[in-house]
Parts: sequence; C-alpha cells; structure tokens
Amino acid sequence: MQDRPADAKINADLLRSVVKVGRGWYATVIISALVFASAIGAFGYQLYSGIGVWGINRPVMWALGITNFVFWIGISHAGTLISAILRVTGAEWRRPVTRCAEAITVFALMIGAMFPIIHLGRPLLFYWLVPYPNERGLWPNFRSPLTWDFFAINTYLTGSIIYLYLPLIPDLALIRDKSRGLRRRIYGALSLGWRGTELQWARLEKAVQIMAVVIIPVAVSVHTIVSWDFAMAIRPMWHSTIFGPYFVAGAIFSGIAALILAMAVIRRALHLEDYLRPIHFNYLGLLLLTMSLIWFYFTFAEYLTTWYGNEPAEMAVFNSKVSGAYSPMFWTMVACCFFIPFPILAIKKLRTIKGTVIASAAVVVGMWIERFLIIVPTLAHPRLSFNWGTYRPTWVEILLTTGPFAYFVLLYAIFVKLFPIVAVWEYKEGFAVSKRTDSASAGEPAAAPAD
Amino acid sequence: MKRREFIKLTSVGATGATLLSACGHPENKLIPVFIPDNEYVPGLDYWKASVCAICSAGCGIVVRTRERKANKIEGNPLHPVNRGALCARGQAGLQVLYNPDRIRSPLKRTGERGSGQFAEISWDEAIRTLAEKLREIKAQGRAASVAFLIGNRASASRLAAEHLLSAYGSDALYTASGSGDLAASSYAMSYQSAGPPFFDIANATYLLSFGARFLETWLSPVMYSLAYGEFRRASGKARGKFIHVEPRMSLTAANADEWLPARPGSEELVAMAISQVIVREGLIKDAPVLASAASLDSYAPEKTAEQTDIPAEKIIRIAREFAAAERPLAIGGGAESMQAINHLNTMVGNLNKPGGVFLHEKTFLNPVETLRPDTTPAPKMLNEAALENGHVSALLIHEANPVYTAARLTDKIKAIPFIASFSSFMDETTQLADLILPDNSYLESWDLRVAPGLKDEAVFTLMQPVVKPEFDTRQTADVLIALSRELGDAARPIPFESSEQIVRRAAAELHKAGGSINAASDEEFWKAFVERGVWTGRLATESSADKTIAAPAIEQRNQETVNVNESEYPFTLLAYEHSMLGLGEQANLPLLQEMPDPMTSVMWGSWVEINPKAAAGLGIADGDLVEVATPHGSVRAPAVLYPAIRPDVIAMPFGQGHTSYGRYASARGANALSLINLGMALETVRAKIAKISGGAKLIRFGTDEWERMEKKQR
Amino acid sequence: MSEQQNKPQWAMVIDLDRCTGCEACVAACRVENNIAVAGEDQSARGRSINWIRVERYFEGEYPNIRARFMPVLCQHCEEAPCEPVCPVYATYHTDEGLNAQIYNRCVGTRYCANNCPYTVRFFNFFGSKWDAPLDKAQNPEVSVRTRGVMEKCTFCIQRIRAGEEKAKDEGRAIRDGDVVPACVQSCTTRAMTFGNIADETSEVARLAKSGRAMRLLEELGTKPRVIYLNKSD
Ligand SMILES: Nc1nc2c(c(=O)[nH]1)N[C@H]1C(S)=C(S)[C@@H](COP(=O)(O)OP(=O)(O)OC[C@H]3O[C@@H](n4cnc5c(=O)[nH]c(N)nc54)[C@H](O)[C@@H]3O)O[C@H]1N2
Ligand SMILES: Nc1nc2c(c(=O)[nH]1)N[C@H]1C(S)=C(S)[C@@H](COP(=O)(O)OP(=O)(O)OC[C@H]3O[C@@H](n4cnc5c(=O)[nH]c(N)nc54)[C@H](O)[C@@H]3O)O[C@H]1N2
Ligand code: SF4
Ligand code: SF4
Ligand code: SF4
Ligand code: SF4
Ligand code: SF4
Ligand SMILES: [Mo]
Repeated sequence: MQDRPADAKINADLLRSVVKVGRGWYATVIISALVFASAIGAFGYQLYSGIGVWGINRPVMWALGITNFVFWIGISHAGTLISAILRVTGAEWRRPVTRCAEAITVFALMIGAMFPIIHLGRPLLFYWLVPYPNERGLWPNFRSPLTWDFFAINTYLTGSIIYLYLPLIPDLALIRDKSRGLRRRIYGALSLGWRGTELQWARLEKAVQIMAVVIIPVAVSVHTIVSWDFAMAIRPMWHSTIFGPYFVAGAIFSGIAALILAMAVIRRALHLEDYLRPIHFNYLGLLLLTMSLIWFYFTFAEYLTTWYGNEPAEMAVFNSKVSGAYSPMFWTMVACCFFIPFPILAIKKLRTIKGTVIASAAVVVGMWIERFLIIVPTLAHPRLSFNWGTYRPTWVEILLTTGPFAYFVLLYAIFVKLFPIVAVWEYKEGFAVSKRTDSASAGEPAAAPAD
Repeated sequence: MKRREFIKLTSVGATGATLLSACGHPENKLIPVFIPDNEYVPGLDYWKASVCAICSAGCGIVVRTRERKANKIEGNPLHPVNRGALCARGQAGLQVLYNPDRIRSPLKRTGERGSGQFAEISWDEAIRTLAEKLREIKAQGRAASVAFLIGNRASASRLAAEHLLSAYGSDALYTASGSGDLAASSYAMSYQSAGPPFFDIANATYLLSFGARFLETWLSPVMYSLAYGEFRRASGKARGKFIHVEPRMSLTAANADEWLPARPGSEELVAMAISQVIVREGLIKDAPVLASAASLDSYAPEKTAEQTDIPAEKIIRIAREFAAAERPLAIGGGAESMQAINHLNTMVGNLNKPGGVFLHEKTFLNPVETLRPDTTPAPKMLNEAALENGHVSALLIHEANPVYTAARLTDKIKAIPFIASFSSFMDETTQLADLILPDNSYLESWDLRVAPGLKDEAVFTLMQPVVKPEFDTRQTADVLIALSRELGDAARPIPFESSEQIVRRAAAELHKAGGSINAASDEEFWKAFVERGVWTGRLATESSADKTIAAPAIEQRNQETVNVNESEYPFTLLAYEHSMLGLGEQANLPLLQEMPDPMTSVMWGSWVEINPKAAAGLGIADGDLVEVATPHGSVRAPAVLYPAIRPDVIAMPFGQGHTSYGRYASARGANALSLINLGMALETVRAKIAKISGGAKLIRFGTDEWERMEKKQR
Repeated sequence: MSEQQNKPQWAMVIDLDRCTGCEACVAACRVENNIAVAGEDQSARGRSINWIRVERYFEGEYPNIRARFMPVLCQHCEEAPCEPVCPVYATYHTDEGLNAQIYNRCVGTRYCANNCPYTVRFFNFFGSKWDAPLDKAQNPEVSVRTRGVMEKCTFCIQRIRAGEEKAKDEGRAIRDGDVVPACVQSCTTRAMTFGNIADETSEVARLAKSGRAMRLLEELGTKPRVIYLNKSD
C-alpha cells in the first residue's frame, strides 16, 4: 500500500503544468492551432461559396457533418456521465480521473454542438432555432427533434460546465494561494472566495452530489434525443425503438475510450505516472469491455431484427452495409468495436495501459465509423430505389472533420495549463476516505493503489 | 365538363383571348405583334400565338411576355395538333431565344479559316460584302457555282433563297440529308398518296407498331401521344392493346403491352408472316393478298422464325388477335418495311375508317410554296460529287450543319473559297464561314408552318415574333431580300418586301381557301390569324377503293453497302434520335441537356447501350468507357448496361459530340453520326465494341436496383 | 374547421396507363418554376433539380422484360413526415392541403428531405445560376431560390392563387379547369388531372374512386394527395 505522499509533492506534481509548461506544450498548441485553423479556413470557404462545397447531395443530405456531430456528442458522454456515475456509486478509484473526464465532456460538447450549425445551408441563421421573440412572429417548432436537440445539448453543456466547475473551486483557490498579481486576482475571482471552511466543504460536496445525480438523466436524454433525430424519421434502419439506448450505450462506449486515450496522453505528457496508475486503466478497461459487449448485443439485435424482418427497403440498407458498397467500413467497425477490443480487454494480462490504449483507439475509430454507417447508407437508399445515390466527401468536409480533433487537443492543452487536470483536493481526500474505510473494506483504496 | 370537350367547344366559337383567360390567366391579353410604347402596360401579361419550330410537327404555342420579355411557352389549346400540350423540347424554346451562345451580330472572319476569329461588323457591311462577292462571281461568269445549302423544311427563308438563286442564275440548291422528314416521306412513297397519312391511333383497339417511335419522334410526337392517351383510356372505349416490334426497347416500346425484339431489319418478315397466317387461316374473308400464294408461303412464321427470332406461336397468336380486333392498325418506322406493314392495314380494310389509316386526295399545298419562283430547282443532296474541285465557289448555308451531320465532307467544304452562314449559332459549319449573317430565332421571326399528316384537316400555324430581336440579328428572308436589292445588275430583286409580307401574302391564300377563320377582308383575316395563331381547312380523304399498294420490293431491300465481316463486327448498331436532343440541333439547350433520358436516365452526355449478358462476355461493366467501331468510323462513350436490348445489338443516341455549338453542346459526348453513312434514319450498320482504358463520364439522374445489382455482379 | 371545409383541397391524379414517360411534365415544371440548370458538374454530384421526375423501373429479364414509368412529385401528404421535423416551420401544411415551403424561413437543415419517403425535396447547394440572358425567361410569378434553402413541388401555388383569385372575382366557387399546374397542362397524354378533391363532382374526386386508384407507399400512412391509377384494373 502506497503511503500518502507529502502535500507539497502532490501539489507540485498536480500543479506542475499550471505553473510551467515545456516546449512540448507549445509545439502541441501551435500544431493543433494550425490544424484547427485549416478547418476554420474550410468553413470560411464554405460560408463564402455555399454548402455545395461539401460532398453531400440528393439523396445523401447528411453525411460527415452529422457523423461528427453524433460522434462528438457521444464522446462527451465520457466525462460527466462516467464521472457522475462513479461519484454516485462511490467508486473510490475515480478520484484522479473525474476532472479529466469532465473536461472531455465540455470540449466534446462544444465541438459537437458546432456541427449542427456549420452543416446548415444558411449557417448564419442558426439563431432561428433559438426561441426568442422575433419579427418572424414564430417560435421554433417544438415537434422537431432538432429543436429538442437544441435544448438537450444546451442543458447538457450548461450542466457539464457547472459540474466541471464546482469541483474545480478548491483547486482554483489553491492556485490562487500559490500565485501573485493578476493571476492571483483571476483565480481569486474564479474561486468565488473559497476558504475551505467546513460549511463551504459541506456545501460543495452537497452541490457536487446533486449535480452528479442531475446530470445522469440529462446525459442519457441527450444522446437519446440525438438518436431520435434518426429514430423519429421514417427511414429504413433509422426508425428503430432501440436507437435511444443503443446511442447512449455507444456514447458511453466511445466516451470511455476517449477518456482512456486522454488519460494515457496526459499521464505521459504531464508525468503523472504516480497518479494515473495502471489500476485506473484496468478499471476503465473493464468498463470498456462491458460497453463493448453491450454494443455488440445492441448491434446484433438491431441487425438481426432487420434481417429477419426482411423488408425490402430495410434490406437495401442492410445489404449495402453488410455485403455491399459499405461493407468494408461495416466490417472494420465490427472489428474495431468488438473483435479487437474484446480479447484485449477480456484477457487480464493484456488489460495493461498499452492494451487499453490500443483497444480504445480501435473503439474511437470504430464508433466514428458506426455513426457514419448509421447515417449515410440509409440516406443513400431511399425507398423509391430510382433515387439511390452515393456519397464522397470533399476536402472541405475532411478538414472540418480533422480540424475539431486538433481543436480538442488545443482546448485540452490550454485547460491543463490553466487548471490541474487531476483534482488536487479530491485526490487528497481519497487518502482520508481510504483511511476511514481501510479496516472496513477488504478492497484497496483506489486513490492510492498498491502495485 | 371534360377538358377535351371544353377545348373543342371553345375552338369552335371563342377567340384565343377568352380561352386563355378561361385557363386561369385572368389579366391575360392575347395580342398581335407589337404594342406601341404608350399603350404598353408594365406588369401585364401579353400572350402571343405562334408555332413551335423545334421539330417539324408544328405544334401551336402561346408565349407569355411581360415587360417585353418572353417568359413562358405553353401549348396553344386551340391548336388541333397539340391541343394545349407541349413536349419537353417545345418547353425549352426560350433557351433558343435567350441562349447566351447566340451569334449577336454579323461577323466576318479575321483569322485563319476555322480559327474561330471573327470581328463584328454592321449589317450594311455584311450585306455589302456578300453582294460584292456574288457580283464578282457573276462577273466571272460563274454564277452557277454559287450554291445554297438549306434545311429541309419549307420556310419564308427557304422561299427567299429559291428566289435569290433563280434571280441570280444558279440552280445549286442543296439539302444536307436529302431525306426530308423521313417517316413522313416514306409513307407518302409507299401509299403513293399526296402527303403523309394520318393514323387514327386514338380510335384503334389493336396497334401493331414496327419500330415507329410515335411517342418520342416519328411524325408528330405530341399529336400521337395525345392519341395514345385516348387509345389507352377513353371513356366508352375498351383499353387498346399495343404490340411493338423493335430490336431495342425505346420509350415507345416500353409502353407496349408486348415488346417483340425482332432481329434488326426483319420487321418486314414479321409483317409478312402475320399476313401469311391471316391468309392461310382465312382469318379475314377475301383479304387482298400481296404476293402470289407460293411466295407468300415462304413467309410462314415457322419458316421465318429463325430470321426474325420471334417464335412462330407468338406470330400466329398476334395474327389472330390482329385479325379479330375491332379496329386493328399497323404502323411502321422504316422505309424498307413500309409496304409489308401497310399491307396489313389493307388486309383489315381500315383505310379511311375510324381507328385506321387516313389518306388524303391531295395535300393542301403550303401557300408559301405557291409564292415560289417559276423555275425552282429540286434541292439536290450535298455530297462529294457536288463539292468536286471548283464546282462551288461560294456556299451559302441556312439551317444546315453538314460538318456535323456529314463530317466526311469537311475537307471539301473547307476548300470552298467563300462560305456565308446564316446560322444563329457558331456550329461546326459556321465556324468555317467567312461571313456570318445571324438569323433570328423562331420566336423573333415571321413564317408559316404546315403541320404534317392530320386526319382530315390542313393545319397552318403562324410564326410571329413574340419579342423584338434580342440581339443584332435579322431573319434570313429579310437579309436575302436586302441582298437581292444590293446585287444591282447581278440579279433582279426578290419580289417581296419582307418576311412579314411573304407570310401576309400566304395568309391571303389561306383566306381564299375558306377554312376556320371567317373574315370579310384579308386584313380582318390577318388580324384573326395573328390572334389565334392557327388556321385549319378541310381536307378530302382519298377513297379506299382505288388504293392499291405496290408489291413489296423485299428483294431489293436496302442492304448495307460496305461488305463487312460479321465475325469482325459481331453487333448491329442502332443509332437513334435522342428523345431530347434529336440529331443534335437541340444540344445547345441546357434544359434539354439536363433532362434525364427517360430510358437510361443519362444526362449531359452520350452513351452506348448494351445487353448485360453481352457486356459480361466482353468484360464491360456499367459506366466503363468503350469504343464502338463500324466500317465508317469509331467513337468512345460510356457503356450503359441496358437490359432491354437484343444481345446482338448495341444502340447509341445521336445528338452529342459537337465540336462547336456553344458552351452547353461543345466537347460533350460522341457524335454517333460518324458511325453511319449519311442517309436514312433506320439504316443499320454492323459494329464492334470493346472496353478501353480511360475515364468515362456517365451522369445519371436516377437509377434502379437492377443496374446496381449488375454493377455488383462484376 | 368549417372554414377549412370550404377551402378547396387540392389533389392530383396520375394515370399510369396513359403516362408514357415522355417527361414533358418535367420540362414544364422546370420552366414554370424557375428551376435553374445545374450544369454538368453539379448534375454529376447529384444536385440537378426536378420537382417532378419520371422514375423508370425494369421488371423481368430479357426478352420478357417490361419497363414501368412513374412520375413522382411532392405527394402533398396529409400526414406529411417532412413537416414536423422542420425546426423553423419553413415547411408546413396549408388549409388547402398543400405542403408549402417558405424559402426565406428555411435555414437549410435538410432534415425534411431526409424524412420525405418520396425523395422529392431538393436542396440549393449553391445559389441558382443563370447564364445571361437566359434569366430573361424566368417566370415573374415564381421566386428564384437562394443558396442554402430547400425547395420542391408547390402544386404550382402561383397558378392556384391566380385561379382562386379569378373565381373570387367572378364571385363563384372554384371549379375544374380553374387551376391547371404546368405539368398537367403540358402532359402529352393527358395522364394528369388536378383539382379540388373535396368537391365530389370534380374530375379528381371521380378518378380517385376508380378501382385502379392507389397511393404511393400507402403503407407509411402519409396519406398522399397524389393518386395514381394503376395500369390494369
Ligand atoms: N424528339 C424528337 N422528335 C423528333 C425529332 C427529333 O430530333 N427529336 N426529329 C424529327 C425528325 S426530323 C424525324 S425524321 C423523325 C424521325 O423519327 P423516327 O422515324 O422515329 O426515327 P428515329 O428516331 O431515328 O427512330 C428509329 C427507331 O428505330 C429503331 N431502329 C433502328 N433500326 C431499326 C431496324 O432495322 N428495325 C426496326 N424495327 N427498328 C430500328 C431505332 O432503335 C430507333 O428507336 O422524328 C421527328 N421528331
Ligand atoms: N446518318 C443519319 N443522317 C441523317 C439522319 C439520320 O437519322 N441518320 N437523319 C436525317 C434527318 S431525318 C434529318 S431531319 C437531317 C437533319 O440534318 P440537318 O438538317 O443538317 O440538321 P442539323 O445538324 O440539326 O442542322 C441545323 C443547323 O441549323 C442551325 N440553326 C439552329 N437554329 C437556327 C436558326 O434559327 N436559324 C438558322 N439559320 N440556323 C439555325 C444550327 O446551327 C444547326 O446546327 O439529318 C438527316 N441525316
Ligand atoms: S413535338 Fe415538335 S413541334 Fe411539337 S412541341 Fe415538341 S418539338 Fe415542338
Ligand atoms: S411527399 Fe415528401 S415533401 Fe411532399 S408532403 Fe410528403 S413528405 Fe413532404
Ligand atoms: S431544410 Fe429548411 S424546410 Fe427543411 S427542415 Fe430544414 S429548415 Fe425546415
Ligand atoms: S404541380 Fe407545378 S410545381 Fe408541382 S410538379 Fe407540377 S408543375 Fe411542378
Ligand atoms: S407529361 Fe404526362 S405522359 Fe409525359 S411523363 Fe409526364 S405524366 Fe407521363
Ligand atoms: Mo428528319
């Protein structure tokens, strides 16, 4: 069992990136900013020329834009949802992981929420989806799943920011106390006068607990509603009752994978080997394994029922995925989401940091493909087969797809510069808790794992 | 009240204006010619009746103008040919008028011939230049070497050209094809009747068609489509049955109840086999027999099945159905087989009977033609011989494009010292011209059009300018009149003032003949004509009794002249008129380029149709670039796997492959005309096809599972 | 409600036994409704617009193969799946049974197109381009759509309005023949009939009762206002 390191060491380790960053950080920021700038350039070109510069067409009216939307919203489930579930269930090992996860949520949501706007034919009029008294004398159409999306995503984003922010307060105060000048004032303002009094602690814990409980249904609802963008439409292989849970499961699945990847990178880059330990990857790997099984079950159920039902319109889409033009992507997806991660994660020996990272990378790729395959083959095969079509992305869509990944990295890099990525107080608190529970529970305190 | 009755009613009494307003255009006015500025009301619609000149069917149109812009062409509901309907090509008419690639003013060549370098000149200069040239040639005593190449249709401009030549002293009048309107003239030939007959498809109950694409091209697409609608479903009449013989499923064949993909060129045998069954089974009492009993026997379906590829049982069944039908009718699409086909009509005795064939005692001569000079030479075919060295010192071209339709003449044409073109567009021939005097479009011109082959009416439709010329162009008839004045001693002036006057004089002839417009004076007649746009007169039909049909000249059937090795050229090529682009004249209209071909859904290009089985044998997949070669030439185009074509036949539409015809037509697809000899539309040629490397552009609007599956099978 | 009953309920009947697939309707709609030519490149990318199209399906195999034609335009579904999904009410149902499209309200989500089972909605991926002077041929009664908005068959709303106005001017109810959409007017076989299906005496109402009448993808419950008459009884 690991002893509690000195406070000073914890502070130094966990605040290292806040205090000082190296060349690697600058390189990361510059490169990711450049890649992201290319996406902004592509979007500018799109604004100037029209969305015709995308590869979308009739009948494939949605493609990479919405794929990315669903994908990033899915990724966003890493954080808040996972951290909330872990908090609510009192999983002690969560402590060094939660903030990392919550930040993913906020950034992924920010990115995901961009896509419905940039994919519009008239992006500058996106605010027409916002309910406000206007000269058109119209509210948005509350029957449209897109309007639901708008509310769901905004709620989730707001909730996630709050949920990220609350546990950040004591750490902000910590930084405030350790800095001077302007910085001190900014962190001072951000830490809302935190002093660490008993009352403040009690209130904070309560608030975090409440948010954790509240955010779970919000998160579930968000991806359910995203799934309803499809499930509410009477399109073959969209109009499915299991799309809600299927999407939520897929979201958590890809979210955990993203979290594992982010943690692995942070661990390396910020030298947090002592804090993000193999045991965390092991636990998350187990979660990922569970989700992989669930994903497989849902996918199997979904495709089996379609196949068994044998409706021509559904089968056209089904065949195009399983054996037709989209089959290479389909089988890559199945491999990435199941056949690659499953053995790695199921075999304890392979469930190492490296193993989970490989599995997670596969899952992220596989889940992106899944989103694509939900959208494009269905749209390419309308019921009246005279109108079948194909889709090929243009460079604009490709830049708009790669750019946000860079943007994500950029946001993350900035975040670690501004805030401790492992919650300092939660981490410390873990030792207190583990002491308390040491004798009671046979399990090891996750915050200070023994290995 | 039913729409049709309604139209009939109005066509008896009302004028166009009331009819139009009855059609839901409240503030419309149907008005003649041009309104003076002070009476012109902006924002009001003014409608003008005219004629569609995109094909020779002569449908009546009404054109809406507002703010002096033409903005809609609709079918003239008063017109007996199209009764308010209008085909896709007719709809595209405004793209002729407002085509961005129209020649906007007279041009003279400045660079090398064919370099495409021209300078704008004034009309005065253009006419003067041409006149000088003609005077110079005349002065050399070579007037006869001035040739005029002109389109097939009678027109005011053609009349003026005839006058010009005769006044100038040349009889070198040429046409590009010599065929005129193929189907129409071959019918007239086979019946030895005065003009194209009328086929009463609407009232027939059993229709046997031998390659006649009456729903797309043929004699009068809209008129026969309307008739087809009634043939299928008219109240108080049983649904007609329709059998179509054609090696490839055309759109017309696709609408048949039964499609018989007979071997190309064997239609005549199919028709004769049907005759034979009718005779041997005595299905019709005293049916006239075409050939001697012995020779007829050689056409027995059992004996010809091999050649036609149609099982004898099928022929026997169809013969029985045909003979037993209440009102059977046979129609055909090629000159060679016409007599055998028409004989089927004679057998069932349907001449001049409802649901049958209507022949006319005499045609109503186009009154424009009555204004011809006394010594009008018959137009000759423009061919190699005509263009032999030095024969032609100056060529004037109107409504013809031989460099495109007969590319083999190009070098000969290039060698002509002086070429003047009256084309509105920079087509392949005009590109070679020294002087270009651009014609008005049909929506800016005066003319009179005869509608071919109606049941018992002569139909004349007025072409009138619906807007003032959009560009600095002039109607060719007017230019020729001005030119004749400019020629001085070299020719006497053409005896007309203008194209309008030509048409007015022709209209006066119509007035004399009575017909549908009652008017006290020529002027009153003219006013009514201008308003209504159409004049109809009764035509007597020929009595059927004395109608004998010549014995079929089957033995002398038009055969491929070039000796070809069948194993080298394993396929028969069917080249057909593109249902939107025709022979290529409409390739410069973007709307028609973007119309999906109804059978293949292809747009913006050429294609080659091949049976999927045959294609599989050659390793050809849908969309592959292929090369089609015949003894006459070769072209490259993407393959379309077409399930409804004989495996030993490939087909290709005409229409594309222009090298110069404006931005929409140029450098697009391949010219199927280069695969065949200039001549009859139904001529068939042996061909071979092979996949070649290279990208092919095959753009389709729609598709279906079938094509997809084929693709996957590969 | 009673007011709604007094309004004409527009419907179209297409007789598949008459229709030859000639596409005169397609061209007529394009010129009437200012549908710009997309051009070769955009057509190759699936962006050419035809508010009405003729679908051709082959059945069987050579030599026993048949082709079937079916003109498809917006079916003006009474239960239009395209309508509820539009977040900004750019597509909605009028009290005359039209599925209307308000171009300047549309933000271009393209969701409606995805949810239209008939694939009759077309998107303006770029603005429409008219090579001058082709633009002079534009119909002044119909707006030219801008970039980024959805469009589709309107049942020739401009002609409906004109017909209704005329009937009103003459102080009478709408009757057959008052409104003739461009496609119907041009149809070369008179396969198409348009009118007020709420009026029992109208031709469309009569034809809709025919034993040959059917609706496209009826099983989806969209209740189309376009009624097809089958080839055979
Ligand atoms: N849309 C349209 N309509 C037109 C015209 C146009 O350009 N476009 N042009 C007008 C003019 S000028 C004319 S002359 C007419 C021409 O119209 P048609 O006389 O109908 O001639 P094509 O259109 O060439 O059609 C000939 C058909 O016969 C088939 N065919 C070819 N060889 C054979 C054969 O050996 N046997 C049989 N049975 N079939 C064969 C071909 O597949 C083709 O489908 O159309 C007129 N109408
Ligand atoms: N091999 C083969 N040959 C054929 C046929 C075939 O089927 N096969 N078909 C034959 C038949 S049926 C026909 S009808 C002929 C058609 O053969 P042509 O009569 O030579 O037809 P186009 O090539 O269309 O020539 C018409 C030209 O007139 C010009 N033009 C267009 N509008 C105007 C205008 O307003 N004014 C003037 N002055 N010029 C204008 C255009 O430049 C156009 O190229 O071809 C015949 N030749
Ligand atoms: S059939 Fe010929 S004349 Fe009639 S509308 Fe069509 S193109 Fe014009
Ligand atoms: S056909 Fe499509 S666009 Fe038209 S009303 Fe129905 S769902 Fe809407
Ligand atoms: S594309 Fe326009 S009409 Fe269609 S759902 Fe989106 S906003 Fe509504
Ligand atoms: S009703 Fe009007 S808008 Fe609709 S397809 Fe016909 S012509 Fe086009
Ligand atoms: S115009 Fe009439 S016959 Fe031609 S495709 Fe359209 S509906 Fe069918
Ligand atoms: Mo012709």
